[in-house]
Amino acid sequence: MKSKPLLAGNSLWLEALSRFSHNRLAVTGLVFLLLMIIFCISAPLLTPYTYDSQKLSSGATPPGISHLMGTDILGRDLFTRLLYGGRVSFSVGLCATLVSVVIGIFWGSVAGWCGGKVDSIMMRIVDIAYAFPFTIFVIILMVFFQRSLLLLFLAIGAVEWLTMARIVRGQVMALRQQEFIDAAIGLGLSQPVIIIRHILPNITGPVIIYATLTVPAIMLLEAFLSFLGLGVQPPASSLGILIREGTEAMEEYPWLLLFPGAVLSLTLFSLNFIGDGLRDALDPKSSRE
Amino acid sequence: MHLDIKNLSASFHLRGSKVNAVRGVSLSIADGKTVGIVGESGSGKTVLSLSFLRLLPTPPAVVKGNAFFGNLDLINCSDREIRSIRGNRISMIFQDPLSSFNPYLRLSQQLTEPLLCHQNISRKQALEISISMLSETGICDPHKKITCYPHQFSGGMLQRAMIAMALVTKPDMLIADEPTTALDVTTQAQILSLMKKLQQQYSMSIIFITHNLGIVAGFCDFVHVMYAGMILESAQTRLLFKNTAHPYTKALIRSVPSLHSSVEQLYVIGGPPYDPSQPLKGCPFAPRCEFCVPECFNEQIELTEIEPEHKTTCIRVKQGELCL
Repeated sequence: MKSKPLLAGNSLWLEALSRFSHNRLAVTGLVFLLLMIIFCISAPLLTPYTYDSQKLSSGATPPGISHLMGTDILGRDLFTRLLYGGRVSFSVGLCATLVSVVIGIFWGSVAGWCGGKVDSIMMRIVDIAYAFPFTIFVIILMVFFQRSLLLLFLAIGAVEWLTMARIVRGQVMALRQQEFIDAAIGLGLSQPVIIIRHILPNITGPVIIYATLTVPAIMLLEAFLSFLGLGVQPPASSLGILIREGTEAMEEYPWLLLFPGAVLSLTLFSLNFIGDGLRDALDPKSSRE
Repeated sequence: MHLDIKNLSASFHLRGSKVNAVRGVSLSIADGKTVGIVGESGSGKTVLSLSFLRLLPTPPAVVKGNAFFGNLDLINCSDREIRSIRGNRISMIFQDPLSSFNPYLRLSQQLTEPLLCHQNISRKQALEISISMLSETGICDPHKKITCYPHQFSGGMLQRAMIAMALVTKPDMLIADEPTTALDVTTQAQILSLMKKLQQQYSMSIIFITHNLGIVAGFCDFVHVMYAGMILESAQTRLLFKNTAHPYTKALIRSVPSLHSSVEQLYVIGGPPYDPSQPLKGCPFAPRCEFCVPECFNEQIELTEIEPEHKTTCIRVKQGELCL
């Protein structure tokens, strides 16, 4: 990585961007992820089929010219289903992660900063939520409200923020002991300002790393929920559903597992590379040679 | 502005035991003066300075007494009022400059912070003031240096930046808590003369907390010697060194190694330092004192004047049994 000379007035973000753009793996990951997202969004333009159009006569065709990734047993085009499924998986993965990051940072930093009784109460709530059976929680949600994708985001986000809150709390508690926080208090800054300006930038590293690990975990969670009939319902598809269907037909029609599996693992790879790159880019010390 | 501390005490309540770090300290600091607070480790000097800015975590700390800054009692005013004093009217310089800056923020962001927090000015103006302050502290090329991160500075430069940060708001008072401990001797001298210069320029008072008597002698107008959270002797600097009264102060001065005398062994004050969790009766220094008499353990000690601008608590000095 090259270290660029400091430009006066550059913001942390601008400089982080320049550092990020020098990280080849991270950029590749980002490009790949963006390409996949663009592909998923423009699915109707890329394929003549729809995700639920069945054609039993051409069931289980191996990959070829008319069906790029082959078809499943019911004759549905896998490429099409992958694109439409990607829409669901990416939006669930990214949105639920965002929800969990926002709630987790807020909850964790307040608990870690205040300490004492506030901390005990807030973290006991997290413990209770941890112990609450996730599937029952989702079933209750689905029973009371109608089944919807939005609810799926909320349900998954509501579970995933717990770990994030714990990580953030630990970091904040350690940071609170630092002398520069005392110095900030000594400057007369108010507590919210100290948390936002002095604490949050210091915890970006662990938060980003954990967030990139959360995205694939959420995609798999969505597959699990769909398997129970609580998430996305056939004929709609998602990466998780495709992988599950693929494993069932793995021996006869390996392509049904191969392509969705490849997409998921590539997504995972690119997310991890992006996370690594972001962490390095946001740490001002990493520009040191 | 005048700071008047009256009967200030700070204690920590930890699992049933009570640690008295500061016991009923009274002192006042006049405008534009430098007041030194000396004492060995654990004598309560840092806690004293933190307590009247209310920087101690409460609980476990309990702070009692008054500290009048102008008409405002810093100990009993609202959180909003004390925040408007901190970093604005009274600034603080911390011991270790390396850990007192946020590693993730540029100096420009950190130096402008007190200005943006306390004064109604634009970011650009704040930046200009910070840059000129940075150049006042002797950092060359401040326009470029202010965009650096703390890790790109050396310790001495960071201490200068810290002084700049403390002074951007042109405070009336500066609390320097061992500001030169983490620096080498050459840098120490530079930082001290810088502080002296800026003190005259902005006519502010300085509370200088240190255990280095050499710095006290050269830097302070008035000195308070602290032990076990109490002031045992306070005097005008010249008088303190000329007519040292309290045996503790004498012992402290004797413990400073001198280049002129050739001694086999350095002088140390015998015995363990005072345990602040123990109840106090009589003079806290009595168990370690060479000159102590039975009354030292029983009689209530009190700061009394023995000559103009010179007070001590030692009863034997007051009785004229120990000569000045």
